[in-house]
Amino acid sequence: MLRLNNITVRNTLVDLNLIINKGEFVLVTGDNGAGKTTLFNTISGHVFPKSGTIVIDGQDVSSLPQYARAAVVSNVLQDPRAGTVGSMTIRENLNIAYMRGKCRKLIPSNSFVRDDLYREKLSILKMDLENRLDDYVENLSGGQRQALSIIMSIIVDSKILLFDEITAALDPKTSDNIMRIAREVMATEHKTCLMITHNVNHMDQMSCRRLVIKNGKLNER
Amino acid sequence: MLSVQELMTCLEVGLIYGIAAIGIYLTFRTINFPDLTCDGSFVLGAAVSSVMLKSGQDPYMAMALALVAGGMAGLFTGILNVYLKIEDLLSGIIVAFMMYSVNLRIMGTNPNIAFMDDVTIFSGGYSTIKIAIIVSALVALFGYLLITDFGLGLRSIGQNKRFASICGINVKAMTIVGLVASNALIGMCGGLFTQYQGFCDITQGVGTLVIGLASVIIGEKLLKIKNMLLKVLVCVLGSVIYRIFIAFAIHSDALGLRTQDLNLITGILIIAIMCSRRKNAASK
Repeated sequence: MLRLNNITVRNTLVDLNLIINKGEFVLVTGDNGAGKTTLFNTISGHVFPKSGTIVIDGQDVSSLPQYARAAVVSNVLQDPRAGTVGSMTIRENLNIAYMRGKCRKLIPSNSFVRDDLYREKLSILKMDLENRLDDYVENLSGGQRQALSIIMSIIVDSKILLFDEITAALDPKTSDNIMRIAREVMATEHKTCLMITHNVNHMDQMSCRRLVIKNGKLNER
Repeated sequence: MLSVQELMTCLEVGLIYGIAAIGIYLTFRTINFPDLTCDGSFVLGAAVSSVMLKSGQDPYMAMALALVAGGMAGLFTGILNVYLKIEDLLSGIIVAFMMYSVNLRIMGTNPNIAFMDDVTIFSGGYSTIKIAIIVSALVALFGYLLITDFGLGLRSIGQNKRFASICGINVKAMTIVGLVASNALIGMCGGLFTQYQGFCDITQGVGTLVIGLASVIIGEKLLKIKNMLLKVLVCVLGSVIYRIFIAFAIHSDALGLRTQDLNLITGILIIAIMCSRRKNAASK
């Protein structure tokens, strides 16, 4: 369960309260500059609130920096280039994501066990990425990179998933495909998930709890 | 033409400076931190090593202490950048600047120390083999480091800090680790080189960065290797190639170049390689 108590961030979010139950899927909408991304950044620890507390499954994470929250919160960012490393291979990207929230030791990062897991997860995408583990991510299309980002966010367990306008940088056809993948992943993973989207079609396809941010406050819709 | 003896010297000096090139690779390429501490940490290593030798200490111990001293210089730069929020370039410059005084203190206010008669690593002969063993061990160690989970974390902060942070990597700590490791290597390189040439001079660190960087980009240019394990080796090979190139340039009577033209040649070499690389990228 995610609980935000009286969160204030600069002038963007004012005295905001939110409770999201375990396994719930929530859509967040709002005008540009309303504070959707700020809300996500506050949960992930990229931005620290001026006041208020963030509690995840009973643990107060308010004072933890982003890297220390990585074990419980995983992100897919709007820009596929920001969520992956172009100059590294698909395998290296997945290796980095695989160690999220774990202690990075001096043992070789490549292993057959991990490769099998990566291939299994990548095959969900039906993009043939499972046979391209040694390819550099900069050679992938935007849609493929974003799909890889989604896989990287679920490759190890986390309590909260944050999807921040994951289709905003993609063309309509690709974005439908990515959204389909995201929905499939959600259906199988049963995670607490927050998603920001502007796409009306995508919103209509999903029946779930909806929140609107306006004037720094959250409203149910 | 170069004699065999001269070529061996190129090989030995190239291998020793290859250690500094690995250090430069760690900062400039791996964690993407333009670290200018190196000119200071090189002399720091040399100073510590020469004072140890002068007082009759074990030469390997002297080299180890040079490594530790260099690491501390890197730690200081890291703290300036990460915790005191001083820009990366400036923190390196400040530390290198302050190192000058520190180094003079260590050397007992003598701007140079000669130890022709003291016992060094190279006293017993077999210098090429000894250097090769030390450098190979370091190449293996750092090559391995970069393919581990820890090393992958280190590399990721140089590419995408936001992503690294999301994946649970402590960017601040990793930056400091990178700087410490890099400057420890450069300090050790200074400590080893000063034993090799038999004296230590307060100005001998000038150009460590440029020579190291030249080695790294020569290696990258001539040997396009994607295997992470071999990339560290390529830095050392680049350093040896650089020495041989410089020796040829200075020794060829046709060009009419002399030893004092060294910095000019090095600079032109770097510019030429960097320009050719950009041209390739544009034509792709």
